[in-house]
Amino acid sequence: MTPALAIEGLGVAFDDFVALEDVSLSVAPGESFGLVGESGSGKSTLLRAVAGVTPVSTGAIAVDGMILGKRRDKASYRKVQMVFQDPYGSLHPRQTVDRLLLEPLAIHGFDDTEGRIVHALDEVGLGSSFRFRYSHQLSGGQRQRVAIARALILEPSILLLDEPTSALDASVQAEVLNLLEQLRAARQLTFVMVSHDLAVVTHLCDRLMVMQNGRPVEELASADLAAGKVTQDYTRGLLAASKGFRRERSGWS
Amino acid sequence: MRALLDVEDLRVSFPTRTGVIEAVRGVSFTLGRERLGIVGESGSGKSQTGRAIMGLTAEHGVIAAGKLDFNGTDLLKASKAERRALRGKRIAMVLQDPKYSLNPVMTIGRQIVETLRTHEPVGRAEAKRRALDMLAAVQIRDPERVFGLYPHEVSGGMGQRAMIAMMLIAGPELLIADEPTSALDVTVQLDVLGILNHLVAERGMGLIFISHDLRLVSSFCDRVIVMYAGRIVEELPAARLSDAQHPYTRGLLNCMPEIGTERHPLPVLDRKPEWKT
Repeated sequence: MTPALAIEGLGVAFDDFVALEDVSLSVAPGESFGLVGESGSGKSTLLRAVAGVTPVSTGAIAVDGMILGKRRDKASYRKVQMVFQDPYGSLHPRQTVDRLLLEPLAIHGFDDTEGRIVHALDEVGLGSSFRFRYSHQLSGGQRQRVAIARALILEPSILLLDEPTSALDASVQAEVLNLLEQLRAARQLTFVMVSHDLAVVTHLCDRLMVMQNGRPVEELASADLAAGKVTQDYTRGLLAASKGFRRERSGWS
Repeated sequence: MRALLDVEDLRVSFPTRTGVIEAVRGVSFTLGRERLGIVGESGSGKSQTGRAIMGLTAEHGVIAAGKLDFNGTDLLKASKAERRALRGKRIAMVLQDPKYSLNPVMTIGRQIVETLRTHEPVGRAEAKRRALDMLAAVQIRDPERVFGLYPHEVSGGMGQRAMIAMMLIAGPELLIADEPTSALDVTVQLDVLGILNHLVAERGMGLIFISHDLRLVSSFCDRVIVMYAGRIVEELPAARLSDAQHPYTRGLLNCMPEIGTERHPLPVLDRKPEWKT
């Protein structure tokens, strides 16, 4: 079976700074894959390289068996869509929701824009009453729903999620996570999700890769992580840290 | 034991063109030399509660309270100058993101020295020595080097340690920490919390820890107040969080994904209008 996303020896360098080095991974169609690491681990850079917003220095990325070259065509951009972390920064402040959703459709020459916009809003649980609002009239959770609608309106096969819920309240996070799961099941989407929150990643993803300083540390199944079956100390440290603060820890002094 | 802070029926409201927004609606609690957590989601009034105590409410905000007493000082009657003398010296505040809360055009060392010399008549050399000691106390390995760095030259965790050093150097009795670790990586988060825990215990300070993260707060504090829409809906000892009674607290606990438990879909919070009253 052709993987939905295959990455071979990917490297990204900004002048002398190596942000990503020798990363290889493969995600099956319909699978949900997580990337975990601290800031500076290169997890977001990896997503951005797949989305085509960061230039690739070495290695190859293939979507549905098609290798993405230096110059990509429009269709390959359409297949891979991204949802960003901060819903306050990723929506144009002076465009209505309608305009925000129309833009990708116009770029890619879709027909029936009217129907698609109404359907996309319905799909993310907003309804057409939100269509002519500006983003400042929406709550954080509603904005993130618009961002998801904007990504899905192009009918991509892969959805890249860069910390999609870390700017949201816990109760809103649960709603957005449920929405993402439901959309993945309904559309057979492939997810690649970046998060620093192990609980969120293991909830949404089947497999995950732990990264540190631009390199992969370990690749494992979410169930193994939950069961504590990890081989690397770094992963173990992350797992311990995610369990919260313990008073006895402060005995370092 | 006399309470360090006594808050009774605190109200903070902001008049706007479209009506009065009541951010805090009748909050009462007392704080001894202990760690108190205030938890709530955005808009619950948790930060405004902290700011009102600190005296940092925006200019047009209206504060009313039955009592707002800090160690014998009536904060409601205190003049601006008196509040200024308290702020930084006896009540200090650590904010969320060191990228924004540190002065970008001053070295870290100079900022710490400035804080100290504003509140205590100490000489330059003495102030520098104490700033270096304080940086060492927050587990910065090379205080001499960090002293001369600008905030943009250090990592988030290091910046937050510097912030804590600056806040503790004048020896406050009450520390208000508003989401002090939310902008940090999980592993760094624990280091910073460990430092905070150690220093608060060692110096016998009172701590108000404001956060949206119920689990984190309960693992760190002695007592937790849960706020919703400007009111306290529940107050309970941190160790007995699992016994929470209020549906909001229970809902908040339930809706977070947990490693090793499979719940699809996650339970969502069903907000009831009666919680607001």
